[in-house]
Amino acid sequence: MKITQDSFLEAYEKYKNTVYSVIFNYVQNIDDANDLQQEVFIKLLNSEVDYETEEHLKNWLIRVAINMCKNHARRSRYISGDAIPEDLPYEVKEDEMDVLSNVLTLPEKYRIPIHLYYYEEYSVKEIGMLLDMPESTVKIRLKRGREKLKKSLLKEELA
Amino acid sequence: MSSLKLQYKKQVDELCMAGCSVTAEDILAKARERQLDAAEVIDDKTDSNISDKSKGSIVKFEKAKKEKAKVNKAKKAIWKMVVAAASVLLICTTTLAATGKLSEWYDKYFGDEKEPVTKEIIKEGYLYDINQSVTDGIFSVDLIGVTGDAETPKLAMDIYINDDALAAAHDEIRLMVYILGTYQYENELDLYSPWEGHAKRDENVPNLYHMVITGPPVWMCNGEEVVVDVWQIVMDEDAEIWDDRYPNIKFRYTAPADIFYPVSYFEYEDMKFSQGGIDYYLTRGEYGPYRSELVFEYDYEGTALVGGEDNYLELEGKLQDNWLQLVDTMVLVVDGVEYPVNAEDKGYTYCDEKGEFGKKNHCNIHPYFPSVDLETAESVVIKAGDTSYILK
Repeated sequence: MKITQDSFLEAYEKYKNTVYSVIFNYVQNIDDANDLQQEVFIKLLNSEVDYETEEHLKNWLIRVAINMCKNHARRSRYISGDAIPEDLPYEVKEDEMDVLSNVLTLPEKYRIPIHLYYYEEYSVKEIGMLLDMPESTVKIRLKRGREKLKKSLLKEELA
Repeated sequence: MSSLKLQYKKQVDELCMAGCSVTAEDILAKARERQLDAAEVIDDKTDSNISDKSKGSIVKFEKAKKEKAKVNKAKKAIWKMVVAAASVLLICTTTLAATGKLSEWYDKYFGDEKEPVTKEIIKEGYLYDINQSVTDGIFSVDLIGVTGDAETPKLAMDIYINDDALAAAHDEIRLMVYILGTYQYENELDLYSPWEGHAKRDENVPNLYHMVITGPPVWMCNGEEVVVDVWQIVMDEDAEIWDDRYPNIKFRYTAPADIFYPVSYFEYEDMKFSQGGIDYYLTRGEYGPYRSELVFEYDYEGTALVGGEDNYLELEGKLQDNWLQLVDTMVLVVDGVEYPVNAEDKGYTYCDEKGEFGKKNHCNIHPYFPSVDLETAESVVIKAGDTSYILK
């Protein structure tokens, strides 16, 4: 299938959160995330991507988003670990933990696999394919990322 | 973790809902606007004069220096010939890129076997259709488009020989093409040499040849105007009709910087690698879909390589030999997997006797390895002979 205007509108509705959340995980900035979100979907409109399945299209979008974030990082000299905005627009109820901000404080190499695993529910194998890394590396990243996340959540609970 | 997972999902969904302010309609409108802008830019370029432009950032300058150093070496073998001025018919037609031309062109002429990496890059949407045609009467060249990664940009071209006898004598032709930024083309052409590409005859159309030529990333991937000047078309020396032609065929195009597949770069400091009595300092690393590359620098003064030469050319020969001997022993080990230097293209070296492009009496060596992700790797080791150095 090739992208038409109708299929574009459908794809945007379906995958806008997927793309936005991956981008935000990289850039951690609302405005930059919106700019990059727009660029990813313009690339889809201009591309020759001939996707066989919905999953193929979703993977394509995530890969393009990741590549754009990497380019953006080089251009803007963004350094992973910069301060995360405190006023992010989501609510944490009394009986909940602020999981998102704790994920965002993880180093990039852990938080992207963690996000793809828990939010998108990709398998280790699929994450390896998306991020161009061996499954063994993904497993290590997920394990270390989870350990770090647990520690920071525990700290938050005790605070 | 399951309830935490649900909390995470909910928080991310809320963030997306409130944070994402771009609508599908905004994107469609922006895409249309850019298409119109692109059409106007291409029309303007057809008749525009080359204007002076700033040379850009330090990074760009560094790359330009490297480019100059590389091409100066090649220049020694390529003597510019005086071309008798002749009245030529020059027709330049420019059209807004027809969707998918480059993609279809690659599918047709450079299938998965010939350019598998480029095919994958195109599939992921990293390409830009140019679709410009120029003829001088005997030769007609179509500039189809550009693709590749940010360190290995590739131009796709079709060449027609409008002379049946000439075409019949040559299955393959060699093109020497200047590919430069506008400023460099207008003001510094003598400092550069043309890039070489080989065009092969189409299987069905006898006068038609197809070529992919790799060009300089410093100008092709910076989002600014590029000048492509087909300076020389060389016919095979062994063929019946041996001839070199100097067509008057030039293009100008501007491709956005982000249409190239991204390459990752790393800077290194104080990483010394000693081998054969010479200290090599690792300064940079890169990896992209075509290859991984490391850059070492060394001071050749005071090493055993220097001594007894009558001139710099003799020393240069020794430095080249040193590079060739060293590179054959180099192995990159990433997460326990060994990657020897690329067999087909081992990389290159350049040395600077006068400090014109870098440090005086220093050489840079650039070994190429298969594409392997150095960024996410857990461990990276470089080996040469019996010496190993842990980079990560």
